[in-house]
Amino acid sequence: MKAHCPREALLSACQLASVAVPSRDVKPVLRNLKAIAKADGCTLLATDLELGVRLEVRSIKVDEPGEALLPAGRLVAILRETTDEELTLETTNETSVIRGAANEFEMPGEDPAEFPDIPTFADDKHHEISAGALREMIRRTAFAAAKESTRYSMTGVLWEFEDKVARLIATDGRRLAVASGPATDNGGGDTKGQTHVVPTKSMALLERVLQDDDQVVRVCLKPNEALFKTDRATIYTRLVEGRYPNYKEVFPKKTTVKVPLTVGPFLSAVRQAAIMTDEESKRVIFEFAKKKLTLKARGAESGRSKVELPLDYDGKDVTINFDAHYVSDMLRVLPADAALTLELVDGSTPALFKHGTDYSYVVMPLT
Amino acid sequence: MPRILQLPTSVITKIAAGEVIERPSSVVKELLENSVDAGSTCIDVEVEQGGTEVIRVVDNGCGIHADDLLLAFASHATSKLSSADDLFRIGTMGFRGEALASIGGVAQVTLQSRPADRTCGAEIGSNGGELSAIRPWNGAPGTRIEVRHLFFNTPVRRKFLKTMPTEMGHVSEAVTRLALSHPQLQLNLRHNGKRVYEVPASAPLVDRIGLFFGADLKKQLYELDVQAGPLRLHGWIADPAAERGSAKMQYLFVNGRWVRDRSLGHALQEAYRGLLMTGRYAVAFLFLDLPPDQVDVNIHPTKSEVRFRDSHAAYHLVLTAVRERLRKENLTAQLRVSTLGIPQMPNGTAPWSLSPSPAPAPLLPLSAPAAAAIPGPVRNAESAVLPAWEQPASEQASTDSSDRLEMEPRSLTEESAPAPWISDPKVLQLYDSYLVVETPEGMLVIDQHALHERILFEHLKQRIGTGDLEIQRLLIPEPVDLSAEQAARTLEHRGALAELGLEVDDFGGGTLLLTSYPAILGHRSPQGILKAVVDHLVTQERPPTREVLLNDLLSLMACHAAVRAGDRLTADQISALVAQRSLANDTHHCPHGRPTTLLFSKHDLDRQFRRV
Repeated sequence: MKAHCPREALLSACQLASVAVPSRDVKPVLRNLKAIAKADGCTLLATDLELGVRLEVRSIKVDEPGEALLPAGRLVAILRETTDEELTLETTNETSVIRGAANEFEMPGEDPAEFPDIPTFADDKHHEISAGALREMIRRTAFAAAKESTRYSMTGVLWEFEDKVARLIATDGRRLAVASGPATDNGGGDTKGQTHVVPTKSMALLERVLQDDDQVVRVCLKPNEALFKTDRATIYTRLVEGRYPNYKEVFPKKTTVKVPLTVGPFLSAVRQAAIMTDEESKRVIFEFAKKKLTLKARGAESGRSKVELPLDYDGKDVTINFDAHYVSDMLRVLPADAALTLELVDGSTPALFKHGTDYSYVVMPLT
Repeated sequence: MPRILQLPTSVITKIAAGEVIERPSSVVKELLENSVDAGSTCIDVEVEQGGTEVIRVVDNGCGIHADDLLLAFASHATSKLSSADDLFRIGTMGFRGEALASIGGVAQVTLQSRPADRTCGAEIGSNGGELSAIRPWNGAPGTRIEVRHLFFNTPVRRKFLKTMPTEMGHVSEAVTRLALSHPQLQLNLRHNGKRVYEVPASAPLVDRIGLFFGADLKKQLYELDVQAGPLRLHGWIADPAAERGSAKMQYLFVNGRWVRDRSLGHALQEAYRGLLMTGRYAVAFLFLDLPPDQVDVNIHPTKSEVRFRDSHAAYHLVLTAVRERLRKENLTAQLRVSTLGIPQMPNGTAPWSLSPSPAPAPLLPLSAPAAAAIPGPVRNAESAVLPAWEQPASEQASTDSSDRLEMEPRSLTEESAPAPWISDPKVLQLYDSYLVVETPEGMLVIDQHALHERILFEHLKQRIGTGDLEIQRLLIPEPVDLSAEQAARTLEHRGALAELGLEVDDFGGGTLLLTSYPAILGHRSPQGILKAVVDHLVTQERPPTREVLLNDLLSLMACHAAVRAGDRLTADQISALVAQRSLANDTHHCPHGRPTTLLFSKHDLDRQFRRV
């Protein structure tokens, strides 16, 4: 194949695709990106067998169609370090050559047929969500998934479609985030009674390819895998196996305290108070009183902090302690001027943060 | 003015019983001792609800003559003693004739017995002291005693009983003591129909110790047998590495009777001085045999204390015998230190295993990914060190080193403050594992992992000591799969675990639900933490105290956080580590009791090179 590539565009596409390149060489061929050049453009493929991506790079001018394997790490390095506007890529079965005005990089070629195929989005039954809404939903949930857990299902994000509503759920057992948004059902049907847990790595890649807010994302959930398709990209991912905990049960049934909050000032107060927490004492004490919230923290060596925040609250006094991270993680993904309600029973039962009707976050206190 | 009245018999028996029978385990102890005195070779003990409901002791001893059954429940009636002089030649476990009378006074007892030479036995019942008529009973030769509803007529006493697991703990302790002191005896203990212990008659003492306290401890034991005049001290003492957080694992038997003796306990601790960290206790199973007229056992209602005619001799014997025995073991270790420089554990455990004590060792595979890193580099480091060092072993050096022994690491342990550092100590890192430091006293070899671990441990402990424990509750309880026995054991210690922030619920079928964990251990998986603690619980002979558990968890954390053997340190890291050495209270041992530092005195080096 032979093609003229605008450097910047190819770089950002390669960086995106590299997310799916495995960091350890279980199978050396997977350390490559596969480029498929056709007359109307070029498609980049990358996979670690769990997660695969097809990215279309349209601005590439193809002189001679063909396929090639290019080592992902080196390719990104070349594109990053060179300064040319445009680079020429020329590959044969033996070598791949990238040329700029004053540079030339030659790499040994590999047989493109060795690269595993990545499933394409067949015109299956699927759901549609707007990219902007989905990106926001991912941002608001993915952080809450477990980094590592003996219950593997919690290391991913649960997807649900029900009555034209898409719902993402993530938890690490200490806190749980649920975000929902409107969806169109194109024959995908309700997912009630099924479990579709997408690994967080795939969620992160999906979030990155959702650039244009108005775009439509097509989602196809199958028993063991899922496919996502935007205009430019198709993402294939295997699902995390295992039973997902019944997340509906963790929501407090009846809350007796409702505190209205605004994200910006609340986050600022939490972060200030958290300055004095440390590895051994993570506790931030939240004292809700009439018209006032007082946050306190005391570290073993660091010292103590006290931050006050005026509140529009007239209920009874309540004190609850949280690991500040669990609160600020959530506040960070919301817009600063967003209104938030905190619903509580007491200092030892789960607390529920609600933003509008489509975002809830339950967090367990420290005692 | 109140007048003086003779108390009614019913009150007298209750008062007397109160001294001897304190809890179900006292009943078990008394009945077992009776069985032993009856010459039994096999005793079955069965208890229900920790002994508060039923205690059944069945033996194959000589039995009781039908005509004596009435007397058996009478106070001060016994077959073991006839005159006051006998009191000073006591060869039996009991002698006062009070046990059965006391038990009969506070419980519903059925006593069935048949002497082996009789064709038919007899039975009698005592309901709170009221005796039933004697009836014939047709059973196997021996005695069968069933004690039901202990303290049914003394509700106050009943109220003071602890929880079932606690009382059961005391019962098994009573059985343990008897089983240790009578190695020829077959003993079976069942609780609520489940087997607790089955000790075959063929098991010698050391196997019994292994049975009761774990095979790991058994491997760490040194046998001891010393005769001094009429006194003989024998038994097993454990390597200092098997140290515990309390003195409960120090078993002392005088003429086959378990006793508590502060003075001898002190002698034992003294013998271990310098080998244990402060606040840690040695493990020992010591038997002191002396002529019956040399010891008075009749000074305590439960005979758990004795008085020696020559208490100084006993003290001296324990101190010197144990110390000599330990020295024999340490001799080899110290010799190797002085000639080869191998920081070898006396008991031969792998120098880097997580802990020489049985408990945390099996944790390794469970704990966070960090743990997985240990075996790899560690083994390499070890194998890299050993061959290189073993070469220079010289026989000559090992022969004339006896006077030098005292100058080895022990001299260091006895210093309360570390040696003052010369302004800019020269430090060298060897094998990415050891630091060699020049001090005015001599050459100091530091195990970087052990020292760092110790420093972190002290640090963490201090923090925890000052603040309260933060507990993170789980929104979604974490199921933890254990064996049924582990699960049951864990549930028994629910209270202690909750204090540590680990709250568990039964989920059935060996699965527990973990609902909270201590936040300070947040970077480890809650399940890993619980499993670590469970392993500890299962290998322990009794519920560990909060302090012990916490200590174990902390040392585990410190171990994972510390620099490892095989980590290359920068010059800054090395000097920081060496400088912090003085900050920790007890820097010469890591939290597991391994030495962190060895001193090779300059004098010693000079001598080896024949400069002096």
